[in-house]
Amino acid sequence: MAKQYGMLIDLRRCIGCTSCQVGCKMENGVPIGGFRSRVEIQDDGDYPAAKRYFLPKFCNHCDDAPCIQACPVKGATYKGEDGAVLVNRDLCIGCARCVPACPYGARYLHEYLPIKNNPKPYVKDVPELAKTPVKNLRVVDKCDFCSARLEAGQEETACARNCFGKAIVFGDLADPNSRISKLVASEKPDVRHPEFGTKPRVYYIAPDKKVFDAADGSLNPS
Amino acid sequence: MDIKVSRREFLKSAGYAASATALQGSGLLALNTLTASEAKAVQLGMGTYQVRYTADVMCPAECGMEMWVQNGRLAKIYGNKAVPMNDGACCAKGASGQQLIYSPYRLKHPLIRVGERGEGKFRQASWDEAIDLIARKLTDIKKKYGAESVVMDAGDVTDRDHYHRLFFAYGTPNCVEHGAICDTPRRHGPKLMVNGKRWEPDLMRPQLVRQADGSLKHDWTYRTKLIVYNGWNPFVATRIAYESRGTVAAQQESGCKVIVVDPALSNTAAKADMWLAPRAGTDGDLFGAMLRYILENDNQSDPAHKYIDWNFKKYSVGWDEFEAAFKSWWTKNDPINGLPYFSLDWAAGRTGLTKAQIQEVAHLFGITKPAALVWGMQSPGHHFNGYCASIIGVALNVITGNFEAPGGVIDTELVKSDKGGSATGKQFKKRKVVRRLAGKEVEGEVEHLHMDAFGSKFPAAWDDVVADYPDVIENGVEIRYGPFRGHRYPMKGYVLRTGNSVYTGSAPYAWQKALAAKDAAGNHKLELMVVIDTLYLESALYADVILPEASYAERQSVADIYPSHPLIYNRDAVIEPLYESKKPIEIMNLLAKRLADLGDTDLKGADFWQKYRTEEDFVNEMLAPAPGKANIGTPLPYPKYPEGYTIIGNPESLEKGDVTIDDAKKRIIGKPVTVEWLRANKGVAVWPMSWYRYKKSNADEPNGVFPPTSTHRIEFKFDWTEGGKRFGGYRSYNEKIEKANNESPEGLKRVGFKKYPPTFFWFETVWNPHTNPEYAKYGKDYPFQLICGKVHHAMSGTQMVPWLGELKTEGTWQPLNNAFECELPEGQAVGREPIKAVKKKIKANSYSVGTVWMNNGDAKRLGLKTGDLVVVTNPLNRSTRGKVFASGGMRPGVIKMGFGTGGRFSPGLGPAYQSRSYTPLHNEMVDPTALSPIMGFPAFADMIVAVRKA
Repeated sequence: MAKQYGMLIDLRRCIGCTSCQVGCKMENGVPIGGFRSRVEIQDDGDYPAAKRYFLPKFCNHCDDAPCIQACPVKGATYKGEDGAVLVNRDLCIGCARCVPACPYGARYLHEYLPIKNNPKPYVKDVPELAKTPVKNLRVVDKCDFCSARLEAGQEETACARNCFGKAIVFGDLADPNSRISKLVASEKPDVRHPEFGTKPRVYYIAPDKKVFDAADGSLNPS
Repeated sequence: MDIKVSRREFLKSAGYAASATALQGSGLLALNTLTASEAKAVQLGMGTYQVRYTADVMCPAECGMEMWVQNGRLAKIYGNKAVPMNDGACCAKGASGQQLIYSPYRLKHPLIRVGERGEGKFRQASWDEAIDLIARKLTDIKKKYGAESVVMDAGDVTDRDHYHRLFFAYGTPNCVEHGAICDTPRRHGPKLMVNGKRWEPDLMRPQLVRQADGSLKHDWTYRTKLIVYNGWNPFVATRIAYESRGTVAAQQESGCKVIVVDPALSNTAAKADMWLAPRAGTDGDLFGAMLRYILENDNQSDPAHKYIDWNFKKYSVGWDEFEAAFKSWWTKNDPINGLPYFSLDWAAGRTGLTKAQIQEVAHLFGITKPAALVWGMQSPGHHFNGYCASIIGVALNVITGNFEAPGGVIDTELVKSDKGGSATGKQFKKRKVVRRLAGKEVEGEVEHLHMDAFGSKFPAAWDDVVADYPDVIENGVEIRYGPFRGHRYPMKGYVLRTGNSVYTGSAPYAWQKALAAKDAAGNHKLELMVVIDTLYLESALYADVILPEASYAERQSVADIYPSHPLIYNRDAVIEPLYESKKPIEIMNLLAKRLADLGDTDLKGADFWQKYRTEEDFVNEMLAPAPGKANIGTPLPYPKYPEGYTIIGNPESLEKGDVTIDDAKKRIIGKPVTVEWLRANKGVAVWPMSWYRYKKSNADEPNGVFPPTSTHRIEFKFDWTEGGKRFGGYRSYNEKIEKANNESPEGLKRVGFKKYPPTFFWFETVWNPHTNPEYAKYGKDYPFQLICGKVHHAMSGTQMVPWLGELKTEGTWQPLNNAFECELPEGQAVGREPIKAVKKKIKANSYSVGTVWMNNGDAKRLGLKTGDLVVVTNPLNRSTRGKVFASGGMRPGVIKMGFGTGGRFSPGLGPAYQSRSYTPLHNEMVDPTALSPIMGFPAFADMIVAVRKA
């Protein structure tokens, strides 16, 4: 059976260092202003009962992903065999319909990667494409669980690899003996906004549930 | 399973033999042990990477790194899993290294000043011209004023040895480093009482521990039950990499409780079980009250109040004197509140904490074992009277039995591996020199000319006094102690390497004034200022000559770290120097050679350019004394070797028994740690952990080795005579004073001391209306205490890095920027170059800048909200501007600014330079005359201010 990758963030061990955010930028050459992952840090409450919340955010690699439904090009954004939601840069036409479709804001247009596919055949279905010259269209980018590392046999995302608090666990949800499967089973972790019904596979161990509210918000600036 | 991959074989097969050959000289072809998955990765297309084991120098934690190189470019940065300091982790800053190394703001060529100092006008010069100019000026200064008139300031500890060696040989003892403007008062207690430095919790994991069966095992067990972090914020301002992950791991795995004492809700406080926010500068008050409470309420027959482990008396001297001196204050009333010193009521009145809170911390610390009390940079480190807190802190840890206990507290200075050896050039300070004093020729050693150790102000300043240079430049040095007593000399040359003293060494205006000061003839008082750096920071604006140094990834040295037991790692050069930059070894040799060519016979080829032909030559000499620690503690690191003997050599040879034992010198000497050995072992050498290193492994008695004080015991008294011999940490300084007709140092006079005290002492801090009656009158007009703290993510020398501007952290580093446009290093998703410089527009409120962090209730009362621009003014009529960040995470009446975070006035700071008009320059608020009495350290966090809307 194919591996089914997922990620778990143990917020009890998250120290708010943002290593995941910057390690991701380094690994993937993410342009300034765009984010595959980002840590929200939010102060809340009044002295002396004030708190600070750390919430590392990633693409949730949803099993019912609205971004895939929004994509007009078959296969341009798709669920990989290993469970990751991926972008095929050869097929993406840069229409950006998937960007607002993601309720978590996990997608952005990569300003340095022009599209490779021919957008013309899709103008009928996606009329707004006509407004932008083809040379200005850019592919969409997002967290892909460090697919380049996975393909090379490094079964660990850069964010998990470098995590200073050892709070990020990446692994195979299909293997009941993997560390992540055991933690999912024993800790009954949360997902962000389960009410969206997208079935995220990025989990959080969060002793204080207020973190999801206090540090909520779009991963990418809207 | 590990697979041995020969780099040469792999490179050949990958078709990179040509580039590999070019890099042979720097040792790229060493064997690396890869894990199975790593080896597979190499085979599968990531095979064009070369993995190099090195260290990060974006910050002083110097974590062990894996840097992956492709096509000669630094392509990836991860933590090195073989290094227990960071155990494979790599922080945000470490991972952002490419944006510093490939920054468009780097210094690329030697530069010679053409405008006025501070104007930033330079012309490009050749290395020959720049080196010649510096060497001629140094030769001239040495002839006219003596070599001691030149100061070498290696602002950064790393690679200091090359430059110190050069200038010690040139003949000046005035070679200093970053430590001088770091946290010297914080380290005072440990230095004075155990001859150590940094007390940290026993949290480094894994630890390599000798087992009963003789084998070595990685031990991951966390044992600590309580940590009190006082003004120490390891989650953000880390110097000790394992403390962040170790703290949360201990919370999860050993049920450890964490108490953070800090006026600001630091990130560490945010994860603590208890956050206590006292007034600034009252750390010693809290510690003093804890000590008094523990002494008054200890009950050895009641397990619920058995605070003290009296066994400590066996391993220490002077407790009775210390206790008596401490208790003598209990009957005195403090003029500020009329209450007896160190009582709970007294401390509550001064700290602003409640009596119950202070009592609870004291009780918890007394009763919970193992525990660690840690005080930091942002508490005793930044206050005029931090010495007192630091000394009481040591006492608290010792009497409760936590010093060196498993899960307790460790003096990391005393257990880390030795390094440096003869490469440091300290032996040159022993050279005899003659100076003419009052018509008489007097002979002494170079070191007797040291401006602090023998000067009139701070002779006990173990770590030098950089913040005093503005005054020294304007008024010169008076040698008051030692053979050259009465000798005066000016400061004429200042060679600054990777520091930024103009901006961070106390108030910038004092530095700017001194560096621009001219004599009657119109010549600069400071005749030569040289800056050697990779980056173009504020101090470089004042340089006469700038030399571009290779970045940390382009030069080799040994990481400077504070672990729980000896370990050492190679900070390998990963890529070739970019642009025209040169490595420290080359700069050292070039300058030494030119000085010799100009007739300086103190610089010899045999000590420099003939001796060190490669970086490896120098680093091997630095590694020669490693680990240099005694075979002591429980479990004994090497049971097969004599206890108490000093261990030298690589772990492999020691394990094998490939050693010689020198009974006369009590040394166990294996095969040396070398660059070659380290490269073959993932860059790192690790020796075994042991605890209770102050006692024999098989008996409850002192081992006579540890700690390395005058008595080899913990010393609660600092100067005493016994059996005709004199002992103690202050002994030598008091002897100097006595030999100088009892003429006291200026620093001590300021607090009314004639000599260094024989045991416990106390004096008040400055600019604190809550604790020092002298300043009470300012309280009304300046209602806020101003504190500061480093923003680790964007320290003063790395704020040009955009990935660190895109993140936010505590209230002092928030996305409150105005829109701006500038050139930025941009990461590349595809192609050969990891980074390209682009001109880019940044939207408002999307990029972090330094702020004025204040309590939200205070802000509301002043009609302020987050984002408002304010002017902050102090009683010295200095002001700075910044945008407010208002939150509940700040004690009312306190304001915090990032240290070295705003008002960046060098264009070399890129995006941070763009925000200079609306970000606060904290140091502008510091009183440049308030150098603390013993170490001459700036009182960075002793100030009061008023705030108004701009």
